[in-house]
Amino acid sequence: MMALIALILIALSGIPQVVFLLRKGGKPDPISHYMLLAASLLLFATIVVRSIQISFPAVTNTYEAMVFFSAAVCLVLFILRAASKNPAILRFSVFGGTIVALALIMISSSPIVPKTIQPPIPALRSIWLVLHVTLAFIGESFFAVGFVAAINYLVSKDEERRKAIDRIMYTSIIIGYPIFTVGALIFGAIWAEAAWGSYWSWDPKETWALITWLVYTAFLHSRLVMKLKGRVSSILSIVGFLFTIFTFAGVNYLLTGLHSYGG
Amino acid sequence: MKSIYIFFKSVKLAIVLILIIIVFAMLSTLLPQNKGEGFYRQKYQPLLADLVIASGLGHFSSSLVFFIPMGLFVLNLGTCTVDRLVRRARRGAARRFGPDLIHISLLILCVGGLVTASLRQEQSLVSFESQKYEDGRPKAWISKVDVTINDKPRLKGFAIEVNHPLKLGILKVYQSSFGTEAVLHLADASGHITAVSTGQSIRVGDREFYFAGTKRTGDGPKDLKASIEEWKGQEKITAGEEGTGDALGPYRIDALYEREVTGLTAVRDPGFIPVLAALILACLGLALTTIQKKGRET
Repeated sequence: MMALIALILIALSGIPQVVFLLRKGGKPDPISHYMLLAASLLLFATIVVRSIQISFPAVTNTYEAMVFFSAAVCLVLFILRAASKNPAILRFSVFGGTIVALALIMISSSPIVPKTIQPPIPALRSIWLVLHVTLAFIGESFFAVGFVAAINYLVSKDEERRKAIDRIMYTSIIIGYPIFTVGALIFGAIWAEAAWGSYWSWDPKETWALITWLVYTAFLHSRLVMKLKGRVSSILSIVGFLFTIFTFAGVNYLLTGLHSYGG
Repeated sequence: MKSIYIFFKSVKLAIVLILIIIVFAMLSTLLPQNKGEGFYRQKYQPLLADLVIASGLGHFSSSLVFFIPMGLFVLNLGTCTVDRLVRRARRGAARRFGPDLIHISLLILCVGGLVTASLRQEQSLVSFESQKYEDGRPKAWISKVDVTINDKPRLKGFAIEVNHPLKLGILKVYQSSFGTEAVLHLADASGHITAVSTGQSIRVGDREFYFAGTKRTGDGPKDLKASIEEWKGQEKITAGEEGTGDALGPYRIDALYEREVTGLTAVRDPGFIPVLAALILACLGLALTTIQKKGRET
């Protein structure tokens, strides 16, 4: 029920955003980010309720992962909007992020994703798994903002505006990168070592997480050392997020490996 | 010499190598890994099978398509790190050293990975105990073990579970798999019982009775039948299904049942310590980079 209200809130938050995007003057709407915050809190509450029911942090199946991911995206959008000195420039990025959050929660609500509340199987009962999953998704939420900012950059014509959007993209990824590295790769390796005695197995999901990390590593190096900004950064940011989504969703359905039970 | 140094410290080279590793890693996830040549020849068209076998993409992590770009990447990363450190020493200026820590940690990680690939040892064991949730899903597989070292008892009844391995110095025992196996109790004329599990055999004179598996004809305990093959040397004499009470050579089948089995793996991995050190160093480097960057901006 809470997830449904959150879905409606996210969808409704799009209305003032569209209205203000279409209006001239460049002012951001005053309420949509509060709606996103409310949706985020409701989604986190959903996770808390399920966690109490199974006596373990509920981030161990696809439904819970998508709810958490959507909640994290909404929260990141709220923080970004609330902390920004120039919220007008964020309008398109926040709107794009809202669509990402809405898509995630809509897919999680669809019949293809089972919602049964079940305690996790033994391999998943580890604090390292909880840290691995939650930090990976928080990092990926920042990548989502980087992704929509990259699209915004590519479609924008005004040079001043492009510079500001480029900054949003870079800031999102520079925050998301260390969180993703620690969560997805480092804590993932520690958990795998504790569970199976092998910190790296070249399982398809591991390999795709590494590929995603390498893309963002290329993003940072091309930017910080080779000073390639703008278009190159935008393309790498888009590719990085598409790989992020494939690592999360595509690998589970198209390839098999150790992470298959996560579904 | 200088040109080689400049070549290897190049960030462009790093980006190219990263792209090459990405492409090969992506391709490797599309192929079933670590299968024999016959598997790829049977599954793919001849040309594709030849390509998979010749490129080594079927065993990516131990192939040249992985080791050559990875080796060059380690050289590149090492040269780049040395260059950064030397430049900082020359200038004597305080610089952000978070990225240096991350680069050093990646080098240690690669060394640790190489040690693991070369020196890791594994030994498989089997144990039997499990707990289930009310709906029948697995809750825990517990393997209680006693440890004796040089005839002296060291541990009694240690419970090995997934995420809870037994640590004995550098040796660790993990729960690595689970499943069910059938057990056959064979009674001889004196009533002595010999237990035989699926895949095992028992010798009687020049013959061998091989317990190949089980077949179910219903849901009752007596509906479970053992598939038994009788062998003489390399020749199979008979094959059939036998149940409780049936005769098997000089034996009588006293009991036939299935039990939960967990696989244990004893691991000795000298590469994990440098890898763990590298992971900790990487965390420190990432934290430091973020803090120093934030400090510079404010």
